[in-house]
Amino acid sequence: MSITPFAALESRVNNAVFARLSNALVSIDGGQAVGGIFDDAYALATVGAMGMATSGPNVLVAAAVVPANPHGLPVQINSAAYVIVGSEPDGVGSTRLVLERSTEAAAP
Amino acid sequence: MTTAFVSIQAAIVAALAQAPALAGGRVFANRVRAVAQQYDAYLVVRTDQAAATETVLGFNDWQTVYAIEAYARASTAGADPVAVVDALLADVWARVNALQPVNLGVMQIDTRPGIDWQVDDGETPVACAVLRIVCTHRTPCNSLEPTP
Repeated sequence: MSITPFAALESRVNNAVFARLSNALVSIDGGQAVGGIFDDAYALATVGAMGMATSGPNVLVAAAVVPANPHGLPVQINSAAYVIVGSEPDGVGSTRLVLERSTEAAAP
Repeated sequence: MTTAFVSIQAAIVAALAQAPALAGGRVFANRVRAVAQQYDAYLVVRTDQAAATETVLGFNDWQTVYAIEAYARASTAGADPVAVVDALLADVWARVNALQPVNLGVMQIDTRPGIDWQVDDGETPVACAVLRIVCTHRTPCNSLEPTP
């Protein structure tokens, strides 16, 4: 039995997901903007007895658009500037990029 | 009635918030909820523990430990979180060492030799440094009110 049909189906699903569910334009290291699913929900950093309010910006993009060594690369998402601090491929065609906010001005 | 433990803590908070106020004046006692994300630094003073060390002529001598938590966040990605809290920690240490026992209503103030650092990630790196001071003070045996 060939696995190719499943790979093709996987690719179609991923393409459909990013085509239909993207909520942000993502440009990695000045590259062409692609669709991604951006999330920046509230998070409580676990420091001290009380913690510190923050958020956990991350974006899901197609694995194919992520460079081989993405850590430290700048990312522009909807005109806001971030830096990639983590890269988490899901093994089935998508990669979650963990981000930190950058003070560097985002390109217009 | 306010116990000596609370009144000393209030005096420590006031000393840290005294002009020029540390952490922009965001100094809290026993705060239980994180401060809003828009603030980059703040201090929390907690009563850690108290132990009566001696009873003399109807008075208890106490050693009460107060923890001072210094919280700070980096302004941008990639910052060293320990460096982020470093200036605030240094300021707190200097302010604590300048405290006069009489202003807190205690007999002696000692800084406990030990600081804990904790770091975490988020939109930008965050850190908390915790130092502790030990206040030696006295209350009547039949009360927890401060001795005048």
